[in-house]
Formats: sequence, C-alpha cells, structure tokens
Amino acid sequence: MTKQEILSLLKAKLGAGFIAHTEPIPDQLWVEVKPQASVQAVELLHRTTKARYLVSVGSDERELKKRFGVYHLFSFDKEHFFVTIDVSADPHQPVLPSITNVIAGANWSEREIRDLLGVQFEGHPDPRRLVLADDWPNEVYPLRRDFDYSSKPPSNPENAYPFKDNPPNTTVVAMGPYFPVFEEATYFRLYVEGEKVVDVDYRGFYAHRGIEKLGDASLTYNQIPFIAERICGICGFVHNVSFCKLVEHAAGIKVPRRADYIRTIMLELERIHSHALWLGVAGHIIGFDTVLMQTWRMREPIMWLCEKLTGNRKTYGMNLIGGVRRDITKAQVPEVRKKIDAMDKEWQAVLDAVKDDTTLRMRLEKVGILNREQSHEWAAVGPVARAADIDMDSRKDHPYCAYDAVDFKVITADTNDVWGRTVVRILETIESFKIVRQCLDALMELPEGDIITEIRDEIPAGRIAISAVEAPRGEDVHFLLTGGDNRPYRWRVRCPTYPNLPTVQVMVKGEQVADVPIILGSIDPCFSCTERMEVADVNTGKIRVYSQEELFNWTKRKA
Amino acid sequence: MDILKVFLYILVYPGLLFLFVYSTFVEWVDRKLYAKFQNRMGPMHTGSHGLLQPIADFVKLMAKEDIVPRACDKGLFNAVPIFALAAVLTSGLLLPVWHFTKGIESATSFQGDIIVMAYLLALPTFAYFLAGWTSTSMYAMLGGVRVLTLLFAYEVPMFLAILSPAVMAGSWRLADIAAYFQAHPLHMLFNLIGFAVGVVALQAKLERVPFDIPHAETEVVGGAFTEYSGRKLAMFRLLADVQMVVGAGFIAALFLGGFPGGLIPGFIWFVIKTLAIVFILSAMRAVTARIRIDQMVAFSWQYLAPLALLQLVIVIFIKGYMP
Repeated sequence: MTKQEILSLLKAKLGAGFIAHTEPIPDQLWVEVKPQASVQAVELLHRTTKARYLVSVGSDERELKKRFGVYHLFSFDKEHFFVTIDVSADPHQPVLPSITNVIAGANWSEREIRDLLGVQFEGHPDPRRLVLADDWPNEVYPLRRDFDYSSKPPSNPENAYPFKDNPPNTTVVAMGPYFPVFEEATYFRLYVEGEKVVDVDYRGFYAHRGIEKLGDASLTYNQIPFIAERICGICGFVHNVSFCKLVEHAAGIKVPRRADYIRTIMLELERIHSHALWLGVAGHIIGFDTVLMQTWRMREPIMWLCEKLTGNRKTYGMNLIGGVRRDITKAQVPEVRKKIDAMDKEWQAVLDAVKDDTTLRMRLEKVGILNREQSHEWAAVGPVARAADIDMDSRKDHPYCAYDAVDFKVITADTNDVWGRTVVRILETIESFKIVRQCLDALMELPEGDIITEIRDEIPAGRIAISAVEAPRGEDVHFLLTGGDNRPYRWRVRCPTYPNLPTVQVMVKGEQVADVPIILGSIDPCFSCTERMEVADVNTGKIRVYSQEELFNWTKRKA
Repeated sequence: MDILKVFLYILVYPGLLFLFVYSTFVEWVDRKLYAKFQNRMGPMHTGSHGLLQPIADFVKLMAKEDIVPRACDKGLFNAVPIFALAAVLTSGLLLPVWHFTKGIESATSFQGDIIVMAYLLALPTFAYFLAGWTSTSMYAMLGGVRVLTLLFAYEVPMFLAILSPAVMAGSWRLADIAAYFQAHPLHMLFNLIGFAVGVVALQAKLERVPFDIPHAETEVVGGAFTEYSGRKLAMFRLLADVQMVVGAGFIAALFLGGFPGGLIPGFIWFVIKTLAIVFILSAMRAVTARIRIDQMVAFSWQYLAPLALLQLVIVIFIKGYMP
C-alpha cells in the first residue's frame, strides 16, 4: 500500500475529521485529524491496512501551538515508512477518546501520557496509574514543560495502588517486586488455583528515571547519546544509535560510510552477547544451569573484544551525532574475525545440543502461546513477534546504518511458543556472525579515519523524526521533535520491552505457576549488570579497585 | 565388647561421624563433577582443591542468624529439621557395611530392614512438607504441596524397584541380598532396569535437577525451606547430603552386591560404589532441565512404574525357571 492510497483511504473515510497531511521527511506520512475522528483513523490503519502500531507519544505543546499533541505512530513494515496520526487536545481541558479498545497495545502508552502529561483518555478500560509512584500527588504532571526537572513534589501517602480483586477460589502468589528470577524490580501478582494461573495483575515502573525529562529540560544534543546508552545495561548501544539516527535524520546530517559499518558491527556484537546471555538466563530459569555456564563462557571473549574495541565491556560510549568516536582499524580486523569465528563454531555446537534436548523441549514447547493475531493486537516486537510467524525486523524494514548493504535472513518460527522464541534467537545469532564478517570486509575497503562528520550548523527547531532500530529484544523506537537551546523539545523512547511486557499477561493465563518465569523470560526483559568490583577497606576507608589482570589471576589462583 | 561395637557403629562408622564427614566429601565430589560438566572449577579455596568447602559452608550457616516467623507453629517449625535429620542418620545405621553381625540378626540387621530403611528414607519428605506447611508463607506452602505431589510420583516406582532384588535373593534383609549378589555376580545384570529406575527415583527423592521442583528457586524461591535460616537450614542442607550418601549406599547394597570383605575392603567398596552412583546423579543434574510437576507425575506413571513392574515380572520368571 502506498502513501497515496493510505491518504485517499483516510480522506474518504474520515471526511470532515481529516485536517491536513505533510511528509516531514521521506519515510514519513504525517496526518492531522480531529479528536473525534482519531479512533476511526486508528482503526482503519490497524485493522484495514494492517499497519503495525508502534507507540503513542504525548507532547506538551502549549507554548508552541496552544495544545497538547498526541501522536499515534504506525509502521508499514514492508513498504518501509511510518504513518503518524496527530491529534490535538485542548490546553486547559485535555480530553481525548481512548484508542485502547481498538488496539490493546495502546494501553500503556495512553496511561503513560495521562500520568505524565495529564491528558485524559475517555473510555480507557484500565485507567490505573502506570508510571508514577503510588505516593506521587494527584494532578502533578512531571513531563509538562512548566514542571521543573529538579523539583520534588510533596508525597501523598494516601494513594494506594488498586490491584484487581481475587477471582473466586483463587489465592495470590506474588512474583515480585523482588523475586529470584527478576534482576529488576517488577511485580506480577498471580491469581492461582492450585498450580494453574487464573488471572494476573501487573505493577511496574518502580525504577522510572525520568530520562526523557532530562532530555528535553537539562541535557544537550551532545550529551544525550551518552545518557541514552544508559537506558539499558545490555542493549544500550541500540538506544545510542537510535538517538543519533534521529538527530541525523531530522537535521539531514550525512554519516560517513565507515561509521555506519562500525555502528553495525557494534550493534551486532551487542546482539551476539545479548542472545548468549539470554540463552543462559533461560536455561537457569528452568534449572538447566549447564546452559548458563557454557553460554556465558562463550560470551566472555565477545565482551573482552568489545572492551578492546571501545574501552568498555558494555556502555561503549562510541557514538556521537554524525559518526563514531573510535575507529576499528584495519589492523584490528583480523582479531575481531578470529573471535567471531571461534564463537560461531561453539555456537553451532550449542544449536545442535539445544535442538535435540528432551527436557528443554518438554519445558519450552507449547508454553506461553502468543499467536499472530494477538501479537498484532498487542503490537509485540522482536523475537516474540517473529516466533509468531510475523516477518518483521527493522534492519530489513527500515534499514539504517549499513544494513542496506549486508546480506542476512530474518529468522521466523511458526510455533508461537517459548521454544520458537529460543530457536529464533539462536539462529539470529548465527546471522549476526555473518553480518559482522561482511562489515569487516567492508572496513578493509574503506579508508581509515573517516568516521565522523563535523556539524557546523545548529540543529534546526521544529523538525520531526522517528527511528526504529532492531535491538536484541526487539524493535527500539525513538521519536524526536527538535527544539531550541540545542536540545530536543520532546524525545520519546519506546524500548522493546514496553510493548512485549503486557503480552505476558495474555501468555500466562491458564498456564502453570512453574511456567510463568520462563514465559516472562522468553520476552527477554531488560536488566543491567555491573561487572567490575571495588573493594573498600572498612578500617582505613581506603578504596582499591582491582584491575582486570588481578581479577583474572584470582580466578586462576589455587588455594 | 559387643556394647562397644554398637557404640562404634552408632557414633563412628557408619554412624554419625562417618556420615557427616563422608557426606560433606560426597557433596564436594558432586560439586566438582557438576562444575567439570560446566567447564568450571568448582570450589578451590578451602582446603586442598576446596575439599573442606562443604564443611566451611555448614559451619558458616550454623553461625548465621536463625529467624523464626512469628505466624508459624514454633514447636513444629523447630522440631522438623531435627526429626528429619535423625530419621536419615538412623537409616544410615542399617547399611550393611560392618559384617560383624552377618550371621546373627541384630538391632541393625534383621529380616525386613529393607522396608524400615525405605520408610526412614521417606520420612524427610514428610518433614519437608510439614516444614512448608508450618512456615505459613505462600512459597513454602506451594513448595510443601509440590513435595507431596512429587512423593506420590517417585515413591511407588522406588518401592517396586527395590522389591525385585529382594525377590531374587529371597530375603527381606539387606545383608542377605548383598550376600546373594556377591555369590552370583552375574545375576546383577538381570536387575539393570530396576537399578536405572532406582537411581532416577533416588534423584527425585533427593530433589535434584531435573526433579528439584519443590524448591525451584526461580519459581517458588526456596520452596518448603523459604522461611528457614541459620542452623535449621544448615540441618536441612546436611540432611540432603546424608540422604544422598545413604540413598546411594542403599541402591549399591541392593543392586550392586553390597560391600563385601570385612571392615577395610568393605569400606573401600562402599566408597567406590557410592561414588559411582553419585557420578550418575551429578551427570543427570548437569544435562537436564527441570521438568514441571505435572510432567514429572506423568513421567513416573507412564515410564518409571511400568518399567519397575516389568523388572519384577522378569525377576519372578527367572526365579521360576532357574534352579
């Protein structure tokens, strides 16, 4: 379906509800509609054209256009462009019709906009708090531009989170807020009958850090890539690339080809070590610790490689708007290739071992079903969607960096279950090895040192950009509206776990309690880890940091 | 003199002291093997190659703060670990390791001791259930219920499996069964199926992967032991190790011809045979994922129990047709 066809469809069906349309950058169609027509517009895109819902972004534009803007973002994957439905809400009484009854996946977005900006959504099926803490005062909206980023409103201890009532004959099993499998705080409240899960309730966002607020209130374009990288401890580079792509897109900055290849290599290395990590954690969740130990052992050389290339095992700090900060020189290429080949060989052994393992199959097959329709409904992304036989991968659908120049397959499975997600991830890693090798070949061709474009002009205000980058966990979407003062006016991050986590509520219903951890694990929820240790002497207060060498020797030391 | 022997039996070998030392050694072997399967080193720092690590862990845990939940039944909560440990230590006394009373029946070797032994080995399972029940925490409760469900899955195949060597030897006394297989070593081959079922059921009894369902940390935190800490938890940990030793000794006495040759050779046989079984248990732990409780029950009744029955039929036929 072309943009023209979509436009004529929307115009014909919405009639007077259609206001205007623009194409701010080539891969985007921006459609402004009246609030009362928004539900119909969204329904047309979601149901008739089968567009994939991404996220809804709220923006406080009272100083710009005397309105609250709400943008519903959609992706036409096979046609390689985004469509945005732009709805305005009254600056004094912001109320809009809810689209959650049409797209289940919009649930969180709308609640988040309500929490942070105070735009009410009429007819929302679950209008409880999502992002804000329980004791946050009512009617204080932290993402509004007149709310100072460093201010601290008084606590309101009377607010308590209203959990769902117990269904009859059930008991509550609490998984969270702190639970052995969850590396981060999250709370799944299971209503169980014996071992069977009847219903589930969720409360999360215990660690909301307000990074978006910092992005449009305190930091500048040069600083944001680094804080973006700190959004996630495992796939941070993805956020970093996402943000840089956004600004480059909005301002029309051309990145040197060599930088594109280097970014691609780092993204794929990140995917490799993330998938290895995931497989280990999945093994641990179902009590198969041998998988954990072996995959993490294989992963370690890749971490060392990353440290060699960037200076850090994780959180590389490689990106700036316009390019990368460090080159991967021609002299380094053979070593990278060697490490990749070694891991590739071991990974094939993992694939063979996992493929035929009886107990793994017993635990993973036909568990945590999310089929194609449900996946579309909840806008699931990444391996979760691909295991439901949806051929979506932003590396192919919205090519960025050097993905237009490399050859790889999008892995899908049609089993809809945890097993499918496992297989997709293992095979995807093998594709990653291929991509890295192709990028290394390209690095040998391109001239060394040409890795960053100098930016002389100011980034213009009022530009809009959307970027989708395929993180190991799924598609990572960033939205940007540029502003003055050398910083964004609104920067929205939608990490891949955001659409995937609500699908857990669908997947666990009717399953056994024992399967809940692995189902949750199968979406690969994000967590971070710190690897170096610092030893403080309590008596002298002296702090000593052990070097890599010392730690390594420690592991070798015999008692 | 006999009194002295009995005291030696109870306190030194195969009683309290031996079971404690040997079970920590077996834990060390298990951890080392498990580590080797995973390309790790396992314990390295306490003692030579970490040999004393299990003892260090035990002592450290004994010294930790012992918390008793306010809502639980304190008497039961405190008694359960002692009771369970005592049951398993007692079962250790029934192992036919010292043959000084082989001819005559005594307090530690009598007709039917195989039944008593199986009973004593089953007691900790009930203790786990009681521990979970009395803890009044939902994870402990779930763990306790899973303990019982698991019991119904593995106990029947286990009993059926230990029946066949007894039928073969025509005796209900461990020492006699061992002596029978020492006299006819080739007859052990007839019992291979029963041996396999026995080892798998033992793994389930010890609640180790793939059957560590009752205390799967990723599902029910600590299972029945969630609320236990300090020395009571240390007792449960020791109990699991002792149970592994006694269980392995039990299987070895039944299926592998026991521990012939008097004190010293018998001791060596005991170590060799139990370690062989522990090796199988560790390997099983390293190459499997935890299965679900419903899958475990199905597995037991679809495969383990019929196999054990088949073994029994084979033994009965052999008894009937062989002189």
